[in-house]
Amino acid sequence: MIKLLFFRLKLILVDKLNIFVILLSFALFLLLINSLSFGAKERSNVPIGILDLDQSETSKDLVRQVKKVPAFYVYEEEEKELNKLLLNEEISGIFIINEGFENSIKSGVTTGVVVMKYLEGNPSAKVLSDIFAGQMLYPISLAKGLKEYEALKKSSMWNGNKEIGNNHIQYNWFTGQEYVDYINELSKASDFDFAFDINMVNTLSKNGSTSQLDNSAIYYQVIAGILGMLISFVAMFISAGTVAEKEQGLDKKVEITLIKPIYLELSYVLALVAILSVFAFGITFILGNFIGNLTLQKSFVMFIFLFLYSIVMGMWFIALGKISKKVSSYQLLGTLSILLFGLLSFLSMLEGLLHNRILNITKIIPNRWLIAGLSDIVYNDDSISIIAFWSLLIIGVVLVIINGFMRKIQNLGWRR
Amino acid sequence: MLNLLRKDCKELTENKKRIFVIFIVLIMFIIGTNYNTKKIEEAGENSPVSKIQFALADSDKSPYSKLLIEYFKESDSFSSYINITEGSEDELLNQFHQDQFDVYLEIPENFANNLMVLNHQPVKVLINSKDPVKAVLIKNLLESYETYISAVEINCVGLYEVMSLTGMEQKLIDKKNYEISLDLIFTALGKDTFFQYQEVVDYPSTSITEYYIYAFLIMAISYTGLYVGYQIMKEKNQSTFSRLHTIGIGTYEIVLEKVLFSVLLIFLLAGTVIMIPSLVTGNTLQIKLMPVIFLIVLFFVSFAIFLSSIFHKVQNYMIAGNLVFFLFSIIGGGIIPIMYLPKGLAELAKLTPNYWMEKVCLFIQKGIVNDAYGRLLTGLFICSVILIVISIALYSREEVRLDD
Repeated sequence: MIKLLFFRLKLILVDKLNIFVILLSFALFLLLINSLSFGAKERSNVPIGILDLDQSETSKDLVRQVKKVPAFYVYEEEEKELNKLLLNEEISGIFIINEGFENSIKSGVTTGVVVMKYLEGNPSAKVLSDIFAGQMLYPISLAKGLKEYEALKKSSMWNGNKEIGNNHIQYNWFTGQEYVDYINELSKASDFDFAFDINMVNTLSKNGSTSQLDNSAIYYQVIAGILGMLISFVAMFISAGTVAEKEQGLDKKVEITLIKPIYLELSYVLALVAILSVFAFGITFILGNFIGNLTLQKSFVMFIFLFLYSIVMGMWFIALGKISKKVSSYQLLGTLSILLFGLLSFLSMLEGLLHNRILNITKIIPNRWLIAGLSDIVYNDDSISIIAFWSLLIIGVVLVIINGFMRKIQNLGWRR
Repeated sequence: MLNLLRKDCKELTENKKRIFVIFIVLIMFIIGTNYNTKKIEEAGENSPVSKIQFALADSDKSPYSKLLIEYFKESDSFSSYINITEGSEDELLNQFHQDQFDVYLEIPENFANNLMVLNHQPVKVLINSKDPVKAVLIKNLLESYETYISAVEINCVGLYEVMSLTGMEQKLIDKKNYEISLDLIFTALGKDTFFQYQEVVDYPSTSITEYYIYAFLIMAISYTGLYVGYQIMKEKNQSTFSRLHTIGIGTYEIVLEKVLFSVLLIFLLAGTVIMIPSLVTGNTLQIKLMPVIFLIVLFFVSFAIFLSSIFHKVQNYMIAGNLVFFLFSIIGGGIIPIMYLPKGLAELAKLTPNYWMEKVCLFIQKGIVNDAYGRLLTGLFICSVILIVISIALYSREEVRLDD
């Protein structure tokens, strides 16, 4: 058995194509993780366009504030360029600060001061304008407060207003600029940094552990999804040997020797496990370098997850190899299954936002659980979602049973 | 050439297994696209986006807090994506931990009064992190509301302090503070009036389902093209080319016939996939889509035949073809929609044909025909012709090599 295992390992590793695919997958993963994680937080934001037609101090300040909003990635271009970006859906909306914006706000007119352009049927348009409006509220409130104050001052000075009361009192009136400076100074005080006490709670974990998710969570999920596809690709090429042997009639020749079919298959599975464990270790090392604050314990759990996923995909491809007579048809079927799994796993990320029962099918896709598991490891402080682990394990066990069942059918057919 | 075409047709009709597989795939595609087209139509009436389940425990019970809650419940824009459930603290918290809500927010006692005198009480918010994408969106939304509260608070307190420093009577200050607080709260709530919303009509945004129909169709065409390359390689290895040469059929005729036959067959299948849901649902079929689909098929078939002419071994061809089409698919927006690709990756995606094909298909689906349409058609046609010419040359050279 051990001799068989070493023989298998040798067979896989001397194949230059296998080594090429493994190295290429590593290189591709490095390229993708680099382009995705470089500024992942910024790139996870919603891209919007801003056109400042007013070019006043107030409008410039508004643009500065909007740029600081973590949910947005702001493009400041000419109208023609912004329109092009909108039609290409590279930005979700255009905010045009109309000419006379500052004057309107100062005079207390707030209706229609900003034009928002968005594509027909864009469901996120109102959410985006809500976030944008948050930044408009400060200058609007400031102008309203000042207007109220100026009205009091004016009526006191010229009419002896009854509302203000005693005309003999010497009031210490602020000028408009003094009022604005005072409020601006006040806004810098930490007392006004109102913030919700937000906590993320993992309701699936038994102790309801908390984690702090940010915008980069979306892109780390994408990275996990692409990683899943690359691991599958490697597993597919390594497992191709089983079909090649069948195509060349080697399996039947080996059966003449008295080696039990189960040992043959086991040796292949173990060789696959050995190679994929090295691959998973390499990937964990790369991920460890890209994700900060990854403890040794988390790295170990991540390795176990990647390893388990690799094995599950290996079992899937061995099963696929059993129904394919030729390497070429196996590769075609295999690649299509990788793309289909990849596509469904990406859709599973949006499951919470989309009404579609068809997405329930993603629960039997190993890639979905890899994404869920890796996200949990990166973002959950004290607990790892067990559901993803068990789901992967169950899918793996089911595939082992299917493989065993198919082997029995094939053996029966051969004996006949 | 006609005889070769007849031979391929005969081969196809005689191969029951292949016909069965084609039918199954076709039916799956038609059901899938039909189902999704119906979903898109339904989406016009009922939003396809699932609402955020918002649990709200109002311990303040002041007129302010009640006013705020009523406003949010009755607001069309807010209620389109958020479903508010009010209740007691314990009951809602319990339900939140049982995974029934996405967010739990607790307005503390005397919240409104304390806010006006600058006494910040923590407003407890719990977000269910089970779905990270949804959790991040909710967090962003809530953080935007923090700026609303801060802006109103600063200016209310600011006016209060300035009036005090001016030396006004306390009674007047309190009165004005009340008035400005109400005014600013309602200004914040009426934020929709700040904007003139301009929906770019006749230019609908792309839905995810619509996007993936085309992404999947393009992927399917590319892999069927790969299969054509595999078939032609198999014929070459079985010396079919040499046998045909002996009866006076040249390499260019064999290659051209293969291109013609497979392009027509795949186009027929892809066209059916696009046409049937339109006929069933009564949607107007975008005729301009057909030349694009035809040229996409021509391009992928030519590209696969070109790849097959480079390699001598079928296995090497399959590995190279799989890798190239796999990369085209994942980088070119087949998995992550092109609208959501990060900038660096989007630049890379532009180098793949899948990116442009998807883009133009979506444009046509929306009824927009711009420069990209003409450019894509010309580009695909020229590339296909070049690839076919090179393939013929390489196949002819290989014949000489094999003869030697």
